[in-house]
Order: sequence, then C-alpha cells, then structure tokens
Amino acid sequence: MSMITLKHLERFYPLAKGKFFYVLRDINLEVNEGDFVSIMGPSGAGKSSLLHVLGMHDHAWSGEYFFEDVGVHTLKPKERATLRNEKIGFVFQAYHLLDDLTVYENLDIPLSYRHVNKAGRDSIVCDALDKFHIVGKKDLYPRQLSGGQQQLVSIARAMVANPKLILADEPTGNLHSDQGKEIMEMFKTLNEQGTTIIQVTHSDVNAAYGNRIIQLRDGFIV
Amino acid sequence: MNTLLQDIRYGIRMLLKYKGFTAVAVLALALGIGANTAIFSLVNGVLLKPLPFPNAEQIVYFEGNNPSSGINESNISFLDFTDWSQQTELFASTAAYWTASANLGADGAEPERVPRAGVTTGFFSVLGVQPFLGRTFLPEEDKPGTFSGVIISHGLWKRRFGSDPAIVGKQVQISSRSITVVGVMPPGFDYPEQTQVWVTSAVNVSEEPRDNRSWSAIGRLKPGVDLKQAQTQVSAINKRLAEQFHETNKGWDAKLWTLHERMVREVKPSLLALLGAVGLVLLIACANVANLLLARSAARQKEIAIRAAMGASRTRVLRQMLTESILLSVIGGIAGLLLSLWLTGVLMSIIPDGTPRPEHIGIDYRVLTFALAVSALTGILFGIVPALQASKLDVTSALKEGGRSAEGHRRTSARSLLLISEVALSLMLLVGAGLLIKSFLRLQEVRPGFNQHNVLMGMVALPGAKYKDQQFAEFFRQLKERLEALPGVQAVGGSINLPLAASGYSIGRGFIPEGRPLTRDENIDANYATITGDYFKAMQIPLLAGRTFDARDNAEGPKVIIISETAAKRHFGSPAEAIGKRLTMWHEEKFMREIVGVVGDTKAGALTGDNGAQVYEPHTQDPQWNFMAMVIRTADDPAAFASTFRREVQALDKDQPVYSVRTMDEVVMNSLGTRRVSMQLFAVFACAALLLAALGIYGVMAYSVTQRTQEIGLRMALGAQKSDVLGLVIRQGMTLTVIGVVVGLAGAFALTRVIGNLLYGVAATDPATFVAIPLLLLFVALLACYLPARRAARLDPTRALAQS
Repeated sequence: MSMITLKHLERFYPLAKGKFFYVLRDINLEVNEGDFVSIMGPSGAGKSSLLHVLGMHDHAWSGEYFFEDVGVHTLKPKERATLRNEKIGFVFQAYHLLDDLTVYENLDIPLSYRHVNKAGRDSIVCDALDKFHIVGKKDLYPRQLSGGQQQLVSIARAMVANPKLILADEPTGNLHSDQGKEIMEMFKTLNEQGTTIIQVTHSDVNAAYGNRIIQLRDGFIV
Repeated sequence: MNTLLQDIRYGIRMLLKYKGFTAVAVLALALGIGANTAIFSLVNGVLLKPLPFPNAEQIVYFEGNNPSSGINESNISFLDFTDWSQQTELFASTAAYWTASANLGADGAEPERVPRAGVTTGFFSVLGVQPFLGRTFLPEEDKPGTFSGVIISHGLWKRRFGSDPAIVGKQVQISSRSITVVGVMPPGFDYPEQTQVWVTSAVNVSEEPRDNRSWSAIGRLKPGVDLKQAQTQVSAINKRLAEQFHETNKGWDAKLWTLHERMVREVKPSLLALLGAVGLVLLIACANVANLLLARSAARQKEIAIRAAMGASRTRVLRQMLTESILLSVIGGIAGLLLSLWLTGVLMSIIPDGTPRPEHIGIDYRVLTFALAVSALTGILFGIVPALQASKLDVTSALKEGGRSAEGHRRTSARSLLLISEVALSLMLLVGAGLLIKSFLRLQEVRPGFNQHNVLMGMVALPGAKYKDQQFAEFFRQLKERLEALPGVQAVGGSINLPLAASGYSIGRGFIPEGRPLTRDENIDANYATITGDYFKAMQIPLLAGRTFDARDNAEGPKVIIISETAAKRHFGSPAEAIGKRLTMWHEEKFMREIVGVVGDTKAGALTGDNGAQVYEPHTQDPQWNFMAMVIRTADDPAAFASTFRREVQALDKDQPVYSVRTMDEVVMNSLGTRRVSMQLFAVFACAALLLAALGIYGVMAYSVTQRTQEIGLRMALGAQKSDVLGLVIRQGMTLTVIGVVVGLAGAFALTRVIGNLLYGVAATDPATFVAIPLLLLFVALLACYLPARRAARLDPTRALAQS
C-alpha cells in the first residue's frame, strides 16, 4: 500500500532580480509501507532537502505530497505538525540529543510534546530503554555516551512515539564502521517489524540494507 | 501541570549550568526590582495606605485662601467655620481646632514640651475614633477660656505615666495648670501633627474676631455626598459672607481637600517622580537581561530546532522560554525583596523631617504583592522578545550539518532595538538627574538672608498660668544675659518667627503706612516677628539703615518698628528714606510706630519663596508672646552648646522644657530636605542606569565581535588594518548609541516637564543639561565600545578564519 506519493514536487530559494535556485525539481516518487529506501547522490544533490520536505519540517515547496492518502500540500503548518508527530520519527547524523537532558528525559520529551500523561510516558520510556538495551544508561547525559550509544538513543527517541515512518539523515556518518553496522542492523530489525524507513546515505554498504535506492542529482531523481 | 514542572526543572538546570549569566541577570534584576520595591514602600506608606479612620475618604480638610491677596494656603476663621457648619446639610459632623504645644512638668520627671491641640467637641467623632481609656469631651466641657479636661495619647500614657490603668480622673500638670485626664487615645492616634495632648478649644464665640484666621477645621461628609458638592456649597456660603462682612471676608474662600490628600500633597509629586525614575531603571535592567537572553537563545538554536523536530509546538517552546524567564525574574525578585528591606531602611534614614506618615512606611502585603507582580511582569517583559525570536526558528536551517550558526537578521534587529531603548531610557534618567542636581546647586546659592553657621536655636514656651505679659519679656531678658555671659557665646537673641519657618510658626500681619486710610484695602500683608535681645547680631542679618532695638525701646518708650529691605523699597522708596517714617499695624494696634531701622531680607518660608515685606517689633512693646525661638551665636560648634542652653533655662525655671534644639545649619539643610533627597535618589538611579547601559553596550558589542570573528579575520586577511577594524566595531556601537541618544532626547523633552515643579532656577529644557548629558553618555558608550573593538583589532586572522 502506498504510504507516500510525491507529484511534481519542487523546492527553490528566491534570488535577486526574480531568479530562483532550485534544490528539488519535478520530484515524482512513491514509497510503500514497509519499504526501506535509500536516497543517494553527490553533495548538493538535494538529499537532505528532500528528507526535510518528507518530514514536514520544510514548508517552502510546491507540488503535491500525499501521506497515507492525506494531501499534505493542502494542510496548514500546524496540521502538518500534528500529522508529523503522529506518524514520523527522525534520526540525524549528529544525533541531536538534548545535551542537558538525561537519556531517560531525551526519550520522554517527544511523548511530553504529544500530551501523553506521566504514567503512560513512564511505561513507554521504560519499554524503549529495555528494547534498545540502554536501561543502565538512563540517568547518563549524552556527553557521557559513545557516538554509537548516542545514535542508539537517537533511534530509540525516534521510535518512542511509535511512528510508522523513520527518516534518517546519514545515521552512521559520525560513527566508525562497527558502530555503523550495529545501527544499520537495528534499522533492519525495525523495518522487519513493520516500520517504513527512508535514509539518506553516501554509503553503498548502508544502502544495501534497504530494498530500494533513489538517486538524486542536481535536484532531479535520476 | 506535569509538563510545567518539566519546564521548571529544566529551567533551574539551565540557570545552574550558566552560572555567570544567571548571576549577572539576577544582579541586574535584583537591583531593579529591589529599588522599585523600596520606593513603592515609600509610596505605599505615604500615598496609598488609607488613613487609619473609618471611611477616611469622607473626611475633609478646610483650607483658607484669598487669591486676590496672593494667599493660597491659610488657616481659617472660627466664625466662618461655624457658618459653614450651620448653613449646609452636607456634613455629618464638623470640628475646629488649634495647634500649639504644652509643657509637661512639675511631676519630678524631666520637663518636656509636647504638641497640643485644642479641639471642639465634635473632633473625635469626625475622625471616628474611640478612646482607649475613658471618654472624649462633652459639649458642656468646652467652656470659654478654660481647659476642663485633657485627653492624652497612648504613647504619652505609656512613656510618661507608666501605662497607669487608673490615669483617668487623675490630675496632670499641663503648662503649670492642673487638669484632669478624661481619656487616653488608642495606639497610633496622633492627629493633628503628632499631638500628644488634646484639650477643649476654650473658644469664646462672642469675643472671637471673624478675621482671626488661626484655626483649622475638618468635617465628615454625609454618605453619598462628594467633595465637589461640598466645595460648591462652602464657596457659595463664602461669597455671601464676603458681601455681609466686607471688611474681614473680602476675597476669602475655603478649598476642601480630602484629609489624606492634604497631608501628602507636598511630597506627592516627588514620590511619583521617584517611582517613575526607578521604573525606568527597571526597564533598562529588563532590556539588559533581554539582550543577554537573546544572545543565549542564539546559542540555543540547535536545541530549539531539535525540540521542534521532536514535536514541540511553537506555543510549547514559547512557554518553556517564558518559564525560564519568569524563573529568573522570581529569583531576581526574591533577591530584590531582600535588597529592598535594606534599601527601605536606608531611605527611612534619609527622608527629611516632616515627611507625612513615616510610621506607615515598611514592607506589608501590598508591597509584597507589588514585588511579586513586578517580578512576574519583568520576567514576561524581558523574556517575551527572546522567546518569540527563538520560537520563530527555521528548523531545517538550524539542523543542517556544517551550517554556520550565524545570528539571524531578526535577532540582530531585536538586540539593536533593545540597546537603543536602553540608551534612550538612560539618557532620560540622566537628564532628569542633571536638572535636579543643577536645580539643587542653584538652591544652595540662594542666600537665606542670615549667616546660618555657628548658630544654635531652641524654643522656650512659658506657661500662661505662671507668667504674664512683661514677665515673659523679663524671663527672656534674663535668659539672654545668662547666655551672653558664658564663654564662647558671641551674641544671643530671640524671635517668635524665625526664617525658613524654623520656629514652627509663620505669622502674618498687615500694616498701613502713615497717611493712608485705615481700611482693609490699604492693608499690606507682612511677615511678622517679635524679637528680643541681639537677634539681628546673633543671626547676622545686616542692618541697612537706622539702628536696631535698644534699651530705649521698652514698654514706656515710643513705639518703634524695624522693617525689611523689600518693605522699605516697595512702600517708602529706599531703606534710608524709610527711617523716621511711621506705620500702624492695622487691626492689632491702633497707634503709630516709628521705623527706626531697616534690615536685610530673610527667607520667611522656603528658600524658593519670594521676599515679601517683613516687620519686627521689640518684645517689650508686644509682650503677649509667651514663646521665643532663642538663637545663640557661638565661637565654636553650636551643637555642643545644647545641654548648656537647657541648663541655663532650667536655672531660671526648673520646670521649663526646651525643645526643637538644633543648629541653623540643620534648619537650612532640612528646608532643602525633600529636594535634596529627590536629587540624591535621582542621581543614584541615573548612575545605575548609566552603568547598566554601558554594560549593555559592552555586552552587545562583545557578542557582535564574537559572532563576526571569521568576518573580521577575513577582512584582515584582505588587508584591513587594526584601525579599520577598530573603526568597524566602534562605528556599529556608536551608531546604535547615537540613535538611542536622539530618541532619548525626544523622550527627555517630553518627560522632564513632569519634574518641572521640583526644579528651581532651571528650566525643564535647560540647554546646557541637554547638551552635556548626551556628550557624557556618548563618551561612556565610546569606552564601552572600545574594549571589544580593541579585542577585535588584536585577532589573529589565521585563527579567526580557522574557526567554524
């Protein structure tokens, strides 16, 4: 079943004298539920931009974007935020954990933003800590963890609200190969459990974990 | 609620993490909130707290005036008061009273002088006060010429009579008379003017002159009656009285004030100006903290972007930022409250004598509520701009890898606006302080007409029950001789009416030069004094023509008078021409007095007052006055002479107290009291504002240099010299400062008019001040810009470019 459909999607920045700089041009794309898609391409191809559009962080685009048959292009930013909170989780290259919150609190915060009550949050976070084998680290701060552990926490945070789609931007870019392998294995397991994954990657090894590769060049899908 | 606790927990953690920032912000807020709370405690105690009487807003005070004669504030006539009371239905009760003082003595304890009031029987019911012990006066007790009973204050009962529960019915010695105590008033009651004993008015209505305007009066309006209605009726009655009694009532009216307003009107403008000034300091502190928060929020862009990516709505981000701000302001508020306890104590020690209701100044629930409200509002005020800026984040840009965390244009604009506001507000305060300082210096140059250095004054009031007429004069003559004989004493004299109202009395009489008709229209108002001894020598008031009083000017001798320079020039041509001329103190005396001397003018009331006509009579020729303000010129420190003075008075009469003993230096300083305190506080606030603004400018420029490190390194790599970099940074800071100065000048032009009535000899738009202050601020701003500019000029271009 189709989860994401993009039709003639374009993202551009206005320049002086009425000119435009196109980051994404005429993107037509379909992603089905359960897919594990890798977006690849040279630097400046528009990979991260596409990911942010898919993640409904970026609103300055034109075209059509359907998410589970809901026309995202027709929604207001606040409505998109609600949809995003329900359905999508993010994993970043730089982990982007909140430095002044413990591991437990980093997992708790997305649930707090989704108005889950305290008892519910406690239960879900404990489950997540257990699932990702980081119970012993719950009271540590990110600076006290290794890169791999931080990325693990980042994935746990992305999963804690039970999203249907994970968007990962170079998830192993700051890790060495062993740690990267561990992370990709985790993604594979999540995908096998039903989570749709779209990752941006430069690595063919990482792309091989998926079932589909999309090549971007100069804003176009090639 | 739970998420709010999350935000609070996180906020505390952030404040503890950035201790330096927290300390600076809390300090700035504590100063601003503390100063505001302290000044508000003054305003609250003096202006806001209602009088401690039931329905106090219904109690009115009658103040006489005669605009056509230039009299704006006067006591009233008892007979006029009777007509107002009887000819209108608007008052539930009215009362008249006079104020004086009384000797307490002859009971073995140290004799003392206490404030006394003579009241009509309705007095206590107007105020709605019941006695603590005993009763108030009965109508039949208010007999002409006698005091049937006395009511004493609670404080006096405790202090002087040991809280004797059986005091009611006992006899006490008041000015050498034995009078029965009929009541004790409750704690804290001392109206009017810190009265300690109340006696009946003893008015003889049939003999009371209509133009004896030495009374005061209060009234309680009936429910539903407002001040305006009562004023209209009283003025209408006065118009009728002016027609009916043309000689005595022409031009006279009475203005009705609420009692509270009447008590505080002198200090109200100063207090409100101070509250405004200290409010400006708080705004500047808020702008400073807002700028600090803006800088911090720039560094927190990533955190906020992550939170937004995790699902935080803009409202939630806003709430979190505001929670942190309010947390900061609450901590600042608590510190400020503690500071205000100390500041209030300091203020109490410097407020001038005569400030109304000082016993009500302190920290009460209203002040605490004010502190809490100011803290909360402050937190929102300085937090809202940074919070709004932070919540408008572009998530995508902030999360992009390798992107430079350059400050957004909006944030830079906000910081610039805040800095301009700080400079503008500081300038306004500085201009206000500058005007007040200049005004005070002008006031200090005003010559009071006498030499106040090395002069001790002290009041002596002889009881009428013990002394009569010439006995008064004889007492003061003997006292003068005893004092003159002491080593270190250069001259001794006395007057019933010292300059600057130092004796507590301001007595006016009218005179008519010889040859003019003895009519009301010819009456020339003059400030009047009866003097004794070498008064002019002791005060060093210069003799301009003729002579001073001497042994010839006794009760049997020709009637003489001395007048002031202004009186001589206005009515006789010149001091020399006035000598030998005659006048009559019309109404009090029906005979002529010869002008034997002309002396220099003195300031009868305030230093800011105009010199009107002044006349002096010798005590021997007007012996009815039982009190005298003795003045003693000493070779050395006059204050050291105080106990000797008392001893000499009590050597003549052991039961005779001396009161209001102080040096004339203190008198002059106290006459400037309110202005001096206003000026000092304004100056302190302005200095604080200047410091905060300087810190603000320094902070903004230092941060800007940090943000522009790569750019500066690039410029230097491309050939910019140190001077170019200095100029670049200083130009940025000074441009903002100049804009702030221009805005501030416009604000100062508008607002300094508010303090116009606090100024003397200086216009509210004094050009010199409006030029000097901006130059001072620009100079300070230049210094504040120079330090970060110098740091920028010393950057190593290679290292600067390597930064990412």
